[in-house]
Amino acid sequence: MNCLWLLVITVLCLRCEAASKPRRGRGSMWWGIAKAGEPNNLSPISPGVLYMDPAVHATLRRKQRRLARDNPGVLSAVAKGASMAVAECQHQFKFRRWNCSTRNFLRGKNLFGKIVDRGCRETAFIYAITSAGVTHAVARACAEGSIESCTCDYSHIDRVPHRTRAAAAANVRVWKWGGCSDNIGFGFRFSREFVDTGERGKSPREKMNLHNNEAGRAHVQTEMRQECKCHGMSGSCTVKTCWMRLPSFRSVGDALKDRFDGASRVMVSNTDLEAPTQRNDAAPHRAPRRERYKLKLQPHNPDHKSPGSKDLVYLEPSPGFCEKNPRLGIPGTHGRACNDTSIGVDGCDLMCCGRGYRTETMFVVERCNCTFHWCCEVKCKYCRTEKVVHTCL
Amino acid sequence: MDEEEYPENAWTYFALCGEPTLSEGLRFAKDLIIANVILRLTVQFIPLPHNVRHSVCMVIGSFLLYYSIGPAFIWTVGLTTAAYILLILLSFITRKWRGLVMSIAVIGFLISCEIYVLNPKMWQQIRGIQMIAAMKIISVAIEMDREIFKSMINPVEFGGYIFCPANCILGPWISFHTYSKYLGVRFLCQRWIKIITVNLCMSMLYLVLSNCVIPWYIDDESSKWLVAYRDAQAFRMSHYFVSSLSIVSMVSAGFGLTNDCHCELQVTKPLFIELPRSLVQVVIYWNIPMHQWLKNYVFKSSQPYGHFAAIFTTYAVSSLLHGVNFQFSAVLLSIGTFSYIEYNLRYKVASALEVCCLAHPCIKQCEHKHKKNSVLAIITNAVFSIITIIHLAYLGVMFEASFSVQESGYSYFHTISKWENLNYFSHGFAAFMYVIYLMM
Repeated sequence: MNCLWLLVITVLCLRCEAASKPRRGRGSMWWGIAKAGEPNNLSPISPGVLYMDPAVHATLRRKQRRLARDNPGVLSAVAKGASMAVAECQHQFKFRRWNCSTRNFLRGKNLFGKIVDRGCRETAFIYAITSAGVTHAVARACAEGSIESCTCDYSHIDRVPHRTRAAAAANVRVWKWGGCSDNIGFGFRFSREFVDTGERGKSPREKMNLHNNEAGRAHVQTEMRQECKCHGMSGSCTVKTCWMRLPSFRSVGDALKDRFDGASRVMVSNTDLEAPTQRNDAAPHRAPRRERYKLKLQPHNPDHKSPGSKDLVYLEPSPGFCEKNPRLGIPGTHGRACNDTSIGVDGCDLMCCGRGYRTETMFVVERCNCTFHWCCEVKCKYCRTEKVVHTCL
Repeated sequence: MDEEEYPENAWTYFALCGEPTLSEGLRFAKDLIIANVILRLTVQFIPLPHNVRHSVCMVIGSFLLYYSIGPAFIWTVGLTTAAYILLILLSFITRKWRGLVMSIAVIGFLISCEIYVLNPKMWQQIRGIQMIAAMKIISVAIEMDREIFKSMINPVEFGGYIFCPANCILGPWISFHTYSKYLGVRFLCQRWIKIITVNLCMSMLYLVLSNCVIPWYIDDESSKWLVAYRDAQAFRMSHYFVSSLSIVSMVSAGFGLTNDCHCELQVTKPLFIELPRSLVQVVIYWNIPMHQWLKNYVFKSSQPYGHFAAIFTTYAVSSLLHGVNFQFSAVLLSIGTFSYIEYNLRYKVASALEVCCLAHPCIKQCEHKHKKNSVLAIITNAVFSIITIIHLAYLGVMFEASFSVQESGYSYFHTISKWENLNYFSHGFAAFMYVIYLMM
């Protein structure tokens, strides 16, 4: 009974939060779904009944709920994608001052904390990686057949005769696509529908979010490789079989991290800043589909070239992550582990922002000298090893 | 946080690779089966005169060929027409040299196609088809010289034979008389469907093994010999796929069935190649109809001019049929030399140790002291098997290439770099074996 009450309260809180702060990260509450599988937060649930859970539903917007209802099985893929994104983000930022920390208890707050309120680089990365996570996970679930509504896009098969004829004229034969190679298409379209709800693309911040979401998806799409193989008499190419290969999410994360390091700061021209208020009265609905992703972003420094579709963009410089800042939800680097020999960001000098660090010697019991015995057993000894741990003051 | 956070799990990988692969393979098989079943049903249930039967075969085959290779189809038509006209003209002049002249003309046509006319992509696409057609044409010409034909072959028969849907795309080669016999025979039974299904499943299994499973089960970072073994095995699986699919197409046309409705066709023997006794056997079992063709028409025709000439001609023809390509010439020449050395060495070893370890297993009772089940024989044969497996990895690694290379043909540098990577090991080893042979 208590649990139920707690749930109801959580739901209510989530709703009022979502309703009372429309401007902040409008489409980003769904990130909470990443924690959906964890027992200490929302109720423990199996993936199959995920869509039933009211607490999960509460984090979603109306359109997202509709999408989840129309595509049974998609919600667990989204949850998987979101948690994959969180894990990848934390992996990429393991040795940075900002380490992509998330909250354990949501209570209507954003999963990544208030940093999302700022339009800084870190926020750009969060949006990109989560959107990429959803694209990746949905495409993969689609290939595995766990999303019922994701049938193969057969439109390309219908087109084939024309294409073949056209290609025949050019003396080049277009090979027909087989199978559900188009899963990525579904992942991409679904991610656009699901992740980009609430971002109307009017205010600068919404444009930034849309751009970064698109960038995340673009990375998944372009890292995707088409692999083909020829079969025929003595190595000729009479039959050709092709398939698509999704990139590992680690490589998407690596690529996005590179873009994070080279992210471009953009500003939005004055006309754009004024436009939302005027247009909102006249036409409250979102911009037409085609124009929605044609964002004209100007670089902040006019000498720089304007950002490409795979670049990350941000609006304002990042806050310092050294000290605790409750207003921005920054925990500070106190107590973080650091590397005393490194001169990089993970080194103690930079990580601890010059406050100095504490060195402790700990004894850890680990498995060691493991040997493999045929078959199939691994035997290990337990060793006591000395470890030196540095933590920031 | 662990480094292995989202392992590529095997099942996902198979779903992403296996499903499209299977569906493309099945779509190709579907076209083949439909065309051939139509042919069989027509021949089976409608009593047709001889020439009409052959023309039905030709028409269905042409449709199938056009459907699967598109405009490149005209090259096969061109080859066939030109060959037939030449055959008629030659028949007025000579009755003895038709085989030789036709062989030279057909091979010359193939080579000039490859060098001057076609773009490499298209050539790779139709090469197998042209090869089958060339083999058929040459066999007809030589059989005419040997006076196996009672009368001059008429154009419909000739066209039907070349364009027969059962084997115009993937082979296997069959002689004109076998073709004619199969086309005339009328029988169907329930086993027919079973044989098709079994072979289709086998071919799809090989396809998935070749595309998805084998490239995955040995990691790229393993030792280079393991990687070479893997790549060569993937290529072999692709060959088994093509071979069993060719049986599917033959059987669905009702070809290659015995009177009690069993399949008498055999194109390749995967088991004898994966676990080889000797390289000589691999060469034979790689493509049995091709081997028979070479033996019957090339080797036997050139035998009167000496043993060495016969061997050399056989090598030259089999190499030229693949086009002017350094890779094929090199691989075939290497196979030839390796198996020659192996054959002779094993002969000497067998007589020196008195062991049954010849390149071919003894047919009945071998005359050596140690029979094939003795420990010594098993050990010697196992050693030779392992050497063969290494040779096969070394030779087969050539055919692993990026897709663009596969699609447009293998270059000289591709071949050399692959072998350089393995330090020309097999060539060195074969030379070493030859030295031992000379010393024994």
